[in-house]
Amino acid sequence: MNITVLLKHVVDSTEVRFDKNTGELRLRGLPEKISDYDKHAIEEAIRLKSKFGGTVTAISFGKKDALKSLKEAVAMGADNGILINHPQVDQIYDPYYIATVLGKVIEKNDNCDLVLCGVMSEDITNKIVGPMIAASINFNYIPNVSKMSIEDNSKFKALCEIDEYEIEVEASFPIVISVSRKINEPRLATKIQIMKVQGKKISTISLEDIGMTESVEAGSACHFESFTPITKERKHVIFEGDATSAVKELINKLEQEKVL
Amino acid sequence: MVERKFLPFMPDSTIIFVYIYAFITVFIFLLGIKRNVTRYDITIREFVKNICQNLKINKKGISDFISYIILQKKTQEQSFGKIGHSTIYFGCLILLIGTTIVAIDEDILSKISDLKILRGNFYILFEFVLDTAGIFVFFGAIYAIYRRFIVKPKYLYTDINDYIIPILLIIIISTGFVLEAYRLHLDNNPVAKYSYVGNFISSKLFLIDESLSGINNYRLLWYFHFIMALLLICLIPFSKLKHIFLIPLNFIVSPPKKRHRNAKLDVPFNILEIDENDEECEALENIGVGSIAQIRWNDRLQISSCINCGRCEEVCPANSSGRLLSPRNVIQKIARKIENAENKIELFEHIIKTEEIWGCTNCYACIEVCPAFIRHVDKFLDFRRFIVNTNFEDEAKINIFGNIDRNGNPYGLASYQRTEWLSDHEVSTIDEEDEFDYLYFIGCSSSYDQRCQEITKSVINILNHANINFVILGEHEICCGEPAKRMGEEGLFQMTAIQNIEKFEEYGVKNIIVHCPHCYNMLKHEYPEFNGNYNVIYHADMIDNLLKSQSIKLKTNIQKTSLTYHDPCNIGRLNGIFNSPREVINRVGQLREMDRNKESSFCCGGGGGNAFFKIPEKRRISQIRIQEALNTGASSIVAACPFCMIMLEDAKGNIENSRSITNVYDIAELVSMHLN
Amino acid sequence: MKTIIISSDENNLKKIYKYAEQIESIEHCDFIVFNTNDGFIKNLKNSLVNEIDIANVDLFLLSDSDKDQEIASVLTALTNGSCSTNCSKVYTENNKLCVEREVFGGIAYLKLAMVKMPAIISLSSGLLNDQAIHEFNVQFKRIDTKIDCDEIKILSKNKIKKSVDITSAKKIVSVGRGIGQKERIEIIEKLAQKLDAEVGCSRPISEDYRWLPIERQVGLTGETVKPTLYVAVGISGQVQHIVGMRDSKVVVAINNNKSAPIFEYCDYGIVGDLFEIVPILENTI
Repeated sequence: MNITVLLKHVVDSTEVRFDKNTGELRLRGLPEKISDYDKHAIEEAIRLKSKFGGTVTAISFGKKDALKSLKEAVAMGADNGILINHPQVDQIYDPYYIATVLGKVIEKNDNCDLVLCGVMSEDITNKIVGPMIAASINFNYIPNVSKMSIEDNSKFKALCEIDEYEIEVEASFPIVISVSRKINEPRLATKIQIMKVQGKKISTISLEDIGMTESVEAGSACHFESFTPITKERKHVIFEGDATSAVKELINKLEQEKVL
Repeated sequence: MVERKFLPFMPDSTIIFVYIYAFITVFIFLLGIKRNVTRYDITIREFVKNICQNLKINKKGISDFISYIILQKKTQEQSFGKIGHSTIYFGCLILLIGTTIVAIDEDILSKISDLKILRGNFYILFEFVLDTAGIFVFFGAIYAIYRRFIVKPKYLYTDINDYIIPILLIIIISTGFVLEAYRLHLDNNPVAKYSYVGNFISSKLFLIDESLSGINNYRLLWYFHFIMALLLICLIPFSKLKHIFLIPLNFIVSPPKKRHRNAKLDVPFNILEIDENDEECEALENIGVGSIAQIRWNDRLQISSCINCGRCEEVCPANSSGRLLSPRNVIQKIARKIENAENKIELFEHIIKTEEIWGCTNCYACIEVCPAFIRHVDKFLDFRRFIVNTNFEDEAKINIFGNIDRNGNPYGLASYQRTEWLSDHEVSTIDEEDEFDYLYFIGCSSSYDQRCQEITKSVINILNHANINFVILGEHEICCGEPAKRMGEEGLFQMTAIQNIEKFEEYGVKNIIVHCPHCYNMLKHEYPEFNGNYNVIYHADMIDNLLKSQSIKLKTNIQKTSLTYHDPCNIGRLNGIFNSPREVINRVGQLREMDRNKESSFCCGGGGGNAFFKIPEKRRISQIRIQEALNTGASSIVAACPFCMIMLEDAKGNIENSRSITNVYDIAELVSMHLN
Repeated sequence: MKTIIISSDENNLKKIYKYAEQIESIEHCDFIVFNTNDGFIKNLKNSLVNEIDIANVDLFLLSDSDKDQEIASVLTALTNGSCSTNCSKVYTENNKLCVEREVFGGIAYLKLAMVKMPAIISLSSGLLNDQAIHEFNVQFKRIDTKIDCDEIKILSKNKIKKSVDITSAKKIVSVGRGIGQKERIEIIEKLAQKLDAEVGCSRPISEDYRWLPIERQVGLTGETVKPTLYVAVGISGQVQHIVGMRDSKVVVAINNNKSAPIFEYCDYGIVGDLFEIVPILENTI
C-alpha cells in the first residue's frame, strides 16, 4: 500500500496580527507549523501503515521552511518526504493551482493507492484542495472520514460525515480522503526525534521538475489584493445599576449584533 | 581477675560445628549478595570498582555518611524511626561490635599471644553494655510488632518479612538472655550482677523449677540460639534486611544532593554537543526509561533500597488528593520486577499507568523524607521522557509543548500580548536602554494571568523605589522552558533555553531578577549546562536585602496583621531559601506558621506541569493546603510563587469557610503596598 | 455576467439567490438544483459534463456544503476557471470580480481578484445563514446524478444526531462558581434553553464540585469553543478559562465583582447579582 499524505506548512494563526504602526498584516518571521488538520492525516497514514504495511510519503508544496514540517512528519513515522519548493508559495491563493501541482507529484510518484489530507487548511480554511486533486487526477474522493479500515489491497471501509449525514461506505483504491479531526489523536514528534531525521529522507523538487514552466503569476487564477483587519477588540460596554434596564440595554445591543 | 569464657559448658567439638556453620552462612550470604548485584545488571568487579571510585571522589561525604548512615539522622526525623528503628539499630550495632571483640579475642589474639581484651573491668563493662543493647533490640522488636499489628498506620504494608524479622530478633535476644541466666547459674559468677538481665532471669527462672538447669538443656538452647542467629544473617540478602547494605551503598553511589543543589535535574543529552550529521548518536537512541532493562545499575540499586516504609506516600500531595500516584507503590512495583530479574518488562504496558507519573507535582516531599535516599522525582522525570518520546498522543500535553515552542508560553496566547499590558508602567525594555544592571525576567504566568500581573507590577514598583537600574525583555521574553523540562520534552527545553541564552548574551545580561521559583530553577541550575552563567536573584532575597540596606523603606505606621507563609516547593525545599521571605513578613506582620512549613511544607499542586493539565483526583491539592492555612487563624496567606498564587486563589474561592482568610498576597505585593 | 447558481440543496440555492441579488454585475441568472443521489466525485463529473452547458458562463455560485465543494472542484477542473471558497463577500470593483474571505482564525479578510473566467465561488455558511430563504417563482432546473460507476458503495446512511458537543455550539451560556449551589444551576439551564444555547462551565464547577460533566468545561484543561454568543455567568475569568473562549464572536459577562478579569474580555457586561439578572434576562428575551 502506497500512502501519500499531504501537509501544509502554515503560520501559527494566534501570532498573526496587524502591525500597530504600519497597519500591515505581519506574516513574516512568525512561528510556523504543520496545519493541525493535516496532522490527523499523517497520524492516520502511520497507523494504517503499521496495521497493513506499505510506505507513507509526505508531500508539501511550500517554501524552504516547510522542510521542517516534512521532517516532523518523518519523525512521526512517515517514510520519506517530498518538498515542492517555491519561494512565493505564500502568495498563491488559487486552490486549483495548488491541487494541480500536488496532483502532478502524486501521479509522478506512481502506484499511489491512497491520498490522505486534512479536511481544510488551518490558515486559509480552504476545504477544496482534496476534491480538486481528485478531480484533476481522476480519483474518487471521500470527505470528513472519521474511521477507516482496510479490507484488502483493493478495498476499504470508511465512516464519513457528509452534510449532516453519517455515511458508511465501501470503496476501492485509488482514492483521495480528507480526514476529520475526530479520526485520531496525532502523536508527538519530540524536538530530538525531529532533529534525528536524516536529511536524505526528504527530497526537494521544483515546479519545473513536474513540468509547470509558466510563472506562478500567470498560472494562478486568483490574485491577491489585500488584507483588511476584522476588528476583534472587545467592546467593554459595561452596564451597572438597575438590573431591568441593564438587561434591556444588553438585549438591544445583542439584537444589533444579530447574535440572538 | 575475671575474664570472658569462650563457649563455656559446651563440648570441645562445638568449635568445629561453629566453623562449619559459619562457613555455610558466609557462603549463603555471599551467594545472596551476588544474586542482588547481578540483578543490577553489573558485574561484581565493576560494582566494587564503582563504589571505590565514589569513595575516592567524594571524600568530604564521610561526615554525611557518619551522620546520615551511622548515626541515622534521617531515620530519627520520624517518630517510629526515633524509637523503634533506632533501638533495634543501635542495639544490633553494639551487639555486632561486641561479637567482633569476642572474635578478635578468640580467633586472633588467643592464637598468637596471651593477650585478651575481655577481662577485668572492661569485661564487666562489656557485660553491662551488651545486656543493655539486648534489651534495646528486644523492646525495639516488640514495639515494631505493636506498630505493625496493633497501631497499623495506613501507610504501612505488612508482608511476611515483617513477621519473621522481629520475631526472629525476639527469639535470638530472649534465648541469649536465658543462656546468660544459665551460665550465671551454673558458673556462680562473682560479677553476675553486671549482667543484669541474665542475672534477673536466673534469679526467677530457677526458682520455679531447679530441674531446668541441667547442662543438656543449656546445650540444646545454645545450639538453637546459634542457628537462629546465623539464620538471621543468611536472611539479610534475601529479605527486607538487605537495606542494611543497600542504603549505605546507595548513599555512596548516589550521594544525596545538597539543599542548594536539590533542584538540579539531569541532562540526558546536550543539543549543543550533538553533531547533526552524526546519524547514530548514541545519546539520542534511548531517551528516558520505559523498561526495566533501561534502568541504569545505580538506579536499580537505589530503587532496590526501598524498604516500603510509606513515608513518601504519607507526605505526597498527589496521594493526599486521591490521585492514583503513590511514590512508594511505583518504586516498589519496579523493585519487585528487579528482584525477580524480569528485565524485559515494559513499564507502561504492564506495571505502571502513565496517569501515576503525570500526577507528580515535583514537590520533592518524598525525596525529603525518604530514609533510603531515593530520588523519586528524578525517576519520574526519566519515565516522563520515555512516555513523551514514545507514540505520545495526549493532545492536551502536546499542545502545551506546541505553545511553548511557537508562542513562547504554555498557554498558547499570542507572544505579542506578553507585555502589552505593561505599557503604562514605569519600566524600560531591553531595547530602550543601553546600560542596565539587572534584567527582570517576568515569566509566563505573571505576564498572562491577570492576578499574577499584580505581582509583576509590585516587583517593578519596589525596584523603582530602590532606584535600581533594570530592564525587562518585553516582546523578546519567552518561556524559561520549565514545563517542557519537567514534563520530559528535554529537546524543547534545551532549544528554548539556548534561545534565551543567546538573547541574554546578545544584550550582555549579567544579573537576572526573577519572582517565579520555576524560572529561578531553570535559569540558575539548568542554564549553565548551555553556557548561560548568570547571577540569578530571587525577588524575596532581593527585597530582604533592599530592606536591610534601607534602600527601600516601609511605612512606619503599619498595622501588623497575622500572616501565614506558604513555602513554594521550588524555592524552599529545592533551594533552601526559607529565611528571607520570613524576615520580610515579620517586618509587616506577625508570622503564624502552618503545621507543615519549611522543608516539610506541603505543595500547592501547581508544579511539574500540573498547572496545565488535569489528573483525576478526589480533592484539589490546593484545598488541602488552604485548609492548613485557615487552621493558623491568620488573616492572609503570603505566597512567593505565581503558581502557588494561582492555585491558592483558586482554592480560596472553593472553600466554604474561607471568609476568615481574606487574601493571598505575593511577598512583593505585601511589601509594595507598605512602601513609604 | 452570465451566472449559474448551483447547489445540491434547494434551501441553499434560495439563500444564495437572496445574496446574489445584491451583486450588481449579475445580469442573467440560471438556477440548478443538482441532486447528487449520493454519488461521489466521478459520478458528479460525468453528469455535469453531460447536463450543463458551461460555455459562456461567467460566474458559478455555490454554497459551502461538502457536496457543493465537490461540484465546485469539478467545475473548476472542467472550465479551468478561478475558484474561491468560503467567501463572505462577492463584488465587482474596477471591472474585476473580487471576493473576501476570513483567514488566520478570523483576524483578517483576504481580498482576492478572480482573473480567469468563469469564477467558481462558494459562499460561507455564515453568510448564507444570515440570508432569509427567498421564495421565488423563477423556474429552476433539476439534474439527477447518474450513478454509473460503483467504486464507492454506500452501506448505511443516517442523519447525524446532535450530541452534547459544546465545541460546535453556536451559543453557549457558561456558569462559574459564582452560582454557589448545584440546585441553582437550573436558572442557567433555563436561560440556555430560552437562547437555544448549550450550557458550559468553568473549571471549579466540573472538577471541584462536579455539578456538571467534564465535557462542558471550557478552558485550558477543558474544551476550546468558538460560539457566536458566549454568556459568562458568575465566572471571574482566569487565564485558564479565557484561552478556551477567546475566539467567541460576542462575549457577555455577568458578575457581581466589578474588577473581575472577565470584564476585560467581554463585549457587554452587567455588574450585579446574577440571581437577579439571569431571570430577568430569561424573561425579557
